[in-house]
Amino acid sequence: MAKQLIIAIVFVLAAVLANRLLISSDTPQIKPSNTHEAHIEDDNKQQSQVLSKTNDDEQTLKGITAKPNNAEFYQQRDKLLVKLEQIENCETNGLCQYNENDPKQSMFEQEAMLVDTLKQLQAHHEKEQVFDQALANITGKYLVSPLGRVQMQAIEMMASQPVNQANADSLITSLVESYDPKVMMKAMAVLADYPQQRERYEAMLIQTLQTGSFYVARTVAKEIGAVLNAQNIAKFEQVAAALPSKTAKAKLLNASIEEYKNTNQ
Amino acid sequence: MHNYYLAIFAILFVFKAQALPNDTENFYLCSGKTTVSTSWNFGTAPAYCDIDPFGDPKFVQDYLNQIIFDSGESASTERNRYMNELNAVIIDAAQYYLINRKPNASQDEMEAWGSAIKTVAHQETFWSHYFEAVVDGRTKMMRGDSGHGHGMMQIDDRWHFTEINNGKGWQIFENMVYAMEIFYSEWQKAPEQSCVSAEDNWVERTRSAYSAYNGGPSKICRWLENPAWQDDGFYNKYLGASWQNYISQPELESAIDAECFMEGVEFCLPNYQAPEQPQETDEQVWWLNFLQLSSGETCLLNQGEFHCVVQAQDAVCLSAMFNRIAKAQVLHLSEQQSQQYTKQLYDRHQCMSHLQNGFKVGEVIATDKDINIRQSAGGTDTNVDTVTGQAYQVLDIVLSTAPVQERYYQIKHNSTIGYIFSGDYDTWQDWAYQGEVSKLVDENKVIALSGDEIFVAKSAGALLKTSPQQGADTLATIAKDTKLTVDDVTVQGVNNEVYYHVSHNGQNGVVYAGMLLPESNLSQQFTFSQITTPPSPPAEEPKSSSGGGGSTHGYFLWLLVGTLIFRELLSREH
Repeated sequence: MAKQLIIAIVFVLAAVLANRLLISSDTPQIKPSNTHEAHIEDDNKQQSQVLSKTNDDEQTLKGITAKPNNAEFYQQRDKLLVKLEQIENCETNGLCQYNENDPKQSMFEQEAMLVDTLKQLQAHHEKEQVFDQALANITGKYLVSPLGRVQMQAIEMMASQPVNQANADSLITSLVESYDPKVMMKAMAVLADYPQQRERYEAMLIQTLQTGSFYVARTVAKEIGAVLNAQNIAKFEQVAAALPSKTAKAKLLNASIEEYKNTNQ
Repeated sequence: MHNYYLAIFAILFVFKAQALPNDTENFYLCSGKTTVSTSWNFGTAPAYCDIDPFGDPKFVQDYLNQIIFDSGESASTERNRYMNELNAVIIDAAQYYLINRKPNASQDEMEAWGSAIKTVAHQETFWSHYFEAVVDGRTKMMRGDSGHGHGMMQIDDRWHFTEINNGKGWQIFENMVYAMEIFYSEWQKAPEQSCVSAEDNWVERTRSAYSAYNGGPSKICRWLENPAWQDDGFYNKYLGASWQNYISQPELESAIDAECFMEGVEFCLPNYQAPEQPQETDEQVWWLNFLQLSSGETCLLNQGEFHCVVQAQDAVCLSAMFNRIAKAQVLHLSEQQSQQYTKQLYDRHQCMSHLQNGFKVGEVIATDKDINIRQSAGGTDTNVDTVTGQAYQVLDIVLSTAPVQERYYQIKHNSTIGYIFSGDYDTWQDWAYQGEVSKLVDENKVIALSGDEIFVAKSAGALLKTSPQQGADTLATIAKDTKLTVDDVTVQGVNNEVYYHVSHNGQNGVVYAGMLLPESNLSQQFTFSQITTPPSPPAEEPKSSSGGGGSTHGYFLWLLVGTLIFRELLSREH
């Protein structure tokens, strides 16, 4: 019986270990890069730039901590960045399969791989608590991705990074044409942390309500309660009054406005 | 031992296969699949599955009957009828969509957009969606691409699984809107592409939008740079426009109110259609139909006055009030006509109280049988049924447009909130009857009842007002966690706003409890028991992530593998 118990314990430990190994080796075979020293230098430069900007409130230091000294961190990041590039070209390098009878298959495969790699990138930075400009840049790139799940992932990354006005700006611009209500919902939660973008943000929401995607406009109308305040309520009341009354977005917007008034006035 | 290796392989395969978005099987949830009387022709593209459990076939039969292809009829005659009806619907839907997105669209763009949408519907399914099967008499919906493609616009359940389960497959207007959302996005991007020579080159814009619709955003110029067979097929269909061969009434006005359905209303009143040999005077026509005023309300004319409700879908309560409308259809009045009589507007709850043998929002019912709960009145089945004899609270009422006042109640059953069919004015007792308040369990309760104790939940407190009317005076602000006793409940408005009548420090008034629609938020304002603030949790450990560790799911799988091998070793020992 004792022997069985020992075997069982060994298997539990092996399961834990095997799972870690499988996940960490889940990246495609990528040629390793040795550019970590350059990265350290660049990142130090970028961090000092960030620090110098804090006085004019362009950036905050939320989450920025000391840089890891180990080369492994940058090697691993390089691997992930190269992997992202490879996924971008997945149809030509065979990472995703083109199916002539289902042409979107490769796009969805690409989308899934990008999301997975971005998650790894985020986790890699979170582990060391490094939120540098390089991460912000890559996040910014995918914030405007036309692939909904990728955009969602980028928004999630943005939510855990220091305030970045440029990224917020890009996100607001890309949301105008979005037809994905889940993306909008997630973005609204993140953009609430950007008071400097308030004017553009509200303008984007109004444009969406007026001429945006059917489903996204309904999401904005339903979730607008978190945006309403004493300063903008009259503006949104005007928008609601101008929308065709039979539309779902008008009904939802009116409900949100009424809710705001019932609980605040 | 062989079986264990197979099991391990299967587990590992499943683990890797999870990279796919949704690995739905071919013909997912497909009952009553049929290919009988189908062909690759308009309205009959193979194959079809039952609408249930994605949606309610009765809803399709009652409200969208005109665009069901009846395979029991002569195929050529039926195809001509079907195509004329569906053509009118597609035109309405495409125009309404574009006007909403681009109010200043030119007439040329409007026409080009309409042609593009018709071609997409041709390319995807030959305009096939609803189908009355001759083999079993059931109403079905088109399923293509091994059953993964749902409906006329072929929304794929592998990539749009959530949307399919939310009605974007079976409900034709949801199906079209969802497809148009994607197509419009590419339509808008097309003029900036190298393969489109000018903004008003409608052919190039259409081809680009389709390439991206079919292959993804990065394929927007595929039709020019590296055409796929779909691009060629699409272009041939665009040029041929062969649907026109079946359309003898291009100006036909559909009785189906596409705009209403596209706005997510389920039971839309059919548009008024004059009889072939009209004999009635204008006054008689007004008397016998619902009337929609230019200001949007839906009304009945009675004794020289318009009696109205805000929402068209509630109009049947007016019919109950005046016991008159035999055939539900709505006539749209001009501004001048709308001002011909004075208007009396009823709150929907006030109007609903006229339903024969109906229950009000907040009342307690018990069901006479196990009734399936749908996400919406005619929508997707939640796969949860009520329990016979159990008590439920009515949270909303939806009426079908049938003169027999078919009613659906929204209820909460444990964690499931949805609608149950509850008969008509005649058969109501077979479905639901007055329930006992004492039998309403906490899990099924949303609205407080008279005598209940409630606690203010919002940190800002609750405003005690003189009445539920807008602009009512505020008497006091009641602090968070204050205990109140509910003396009475008022429900009003299109969103089912709930107010509790309470006394506080000797003052009688009402407190706003929240809205039940589109989703209940009542628990944000008041709770049924005092919530004590829990002690702060210990500092959160860093989450395991793909870079730094494994997932719970991964541990589980490896443990399973280990267990299988362990069992094998044990069996060897014995």
